[in-house]
Amino acid sequence: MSSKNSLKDKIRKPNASQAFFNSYDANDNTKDHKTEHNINNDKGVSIKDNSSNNTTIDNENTIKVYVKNDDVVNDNEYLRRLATGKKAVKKKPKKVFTSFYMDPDLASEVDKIAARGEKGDKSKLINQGIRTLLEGYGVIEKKS
Amino acid sequence: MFTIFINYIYVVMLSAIKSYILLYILKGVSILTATIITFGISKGGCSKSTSSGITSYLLSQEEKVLAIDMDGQGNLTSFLTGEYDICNVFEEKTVLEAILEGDARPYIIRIQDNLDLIPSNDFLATLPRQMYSKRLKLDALQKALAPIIEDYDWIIIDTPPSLSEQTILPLSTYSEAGSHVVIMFDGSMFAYYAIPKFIEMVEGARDRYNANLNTAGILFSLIDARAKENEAMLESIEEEYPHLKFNTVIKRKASTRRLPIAGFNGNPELKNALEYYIPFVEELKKRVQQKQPQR
Repeated sequence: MSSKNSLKDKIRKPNASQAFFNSYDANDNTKDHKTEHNINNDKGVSIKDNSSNNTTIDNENTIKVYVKNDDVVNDNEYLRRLATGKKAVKKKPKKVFTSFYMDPDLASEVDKIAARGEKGDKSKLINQGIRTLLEGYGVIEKKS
Repeated sequence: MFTIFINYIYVVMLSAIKSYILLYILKGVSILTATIITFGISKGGCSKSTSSGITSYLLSQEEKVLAIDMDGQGNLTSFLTGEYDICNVFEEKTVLEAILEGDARPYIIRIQDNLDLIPSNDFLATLPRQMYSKRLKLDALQKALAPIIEDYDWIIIDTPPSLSEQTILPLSTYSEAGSHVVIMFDGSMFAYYAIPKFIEMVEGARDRYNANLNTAGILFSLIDARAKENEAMLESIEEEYPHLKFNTVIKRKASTRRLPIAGFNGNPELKNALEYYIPFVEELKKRVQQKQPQR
């Protein structure tokens, strides 16, 4: 897509029909988000409830973005505390919750792959794909 | 002599078995799902209910048709059943329950040979709220129709004049045989500006749920066929949406308006009432190129 078209897409507001369909997408995403939260709780891991801290941003090219304001605490720190008998509090890593349009064939493949895995695998796959692409472009540094 | 007789019986039986096997194979090959036709436009009074009712009736003369009323006003329901006390008569027996339960079968009523209906009434207004609480998505109607979609040649759906679940659910309903939209147009400015909005709905549904969705065409249903602005509207539509306008133009007639009073059967002015709809249905069938037979 040319930069001009890209800008046009950013300028355009979604029409009523798109907003209607987007509202269903947003509902689906919110449901998934809540489900994930509950699953983590079932595992007995204490998680700070950040739902009230979510920031809603009207994104220029998609629908809505929810940013979680958690501090990033990696798994190593969590395991160290667990091993030394300290209170193990695992905070969720910082995540950006977004939605976007995918090509139907890609969406279908991603769904198929995710169906074989477990909760969260779809996000991991998308992240890995985009990360690899942007690393290849030299836009971001390779993760160690 | 006895041997010849036995041989004769053997040959007859063998050919009968072959015929049965051939018929069975052919039957299996020829089964298709129903072709879905949705009548819609985001403006009231454009003959959506009348056109969907008459189209259902005409198609049912040769093939099996299921009409679905997705408008809570229930005009199609009243048109086909002759019943106007729809809230009481069809209480909890409507398309609302079919969608919420995910199975249309218990809610199909027989109108006449080859013509069935899933009715609606004013309680359909609660659909969005109930869909939300049950976490249903926009493929809910498709799921409800899945058990019966192979039982019909055509599914004809009437929609309300609004951007709502009642309109989007039919558009999001996939059929292997094709889903098509007939956009109703009454020649008014209001309807003219409602067309692009409705096309946006069609495109949204096609992109997300129903890759098989096509616009069959724009059907003119003119209140006053002699109005001077009609020609300008015709040209504008032709220019704006090339090849979409149906060649047939419905000119509204008193005899057509009386159909909900007199009904189809035994109606002495039926031929006159259906004058413009007969060529429309023929044109529609050609446009959607349905493969026959379905069974």
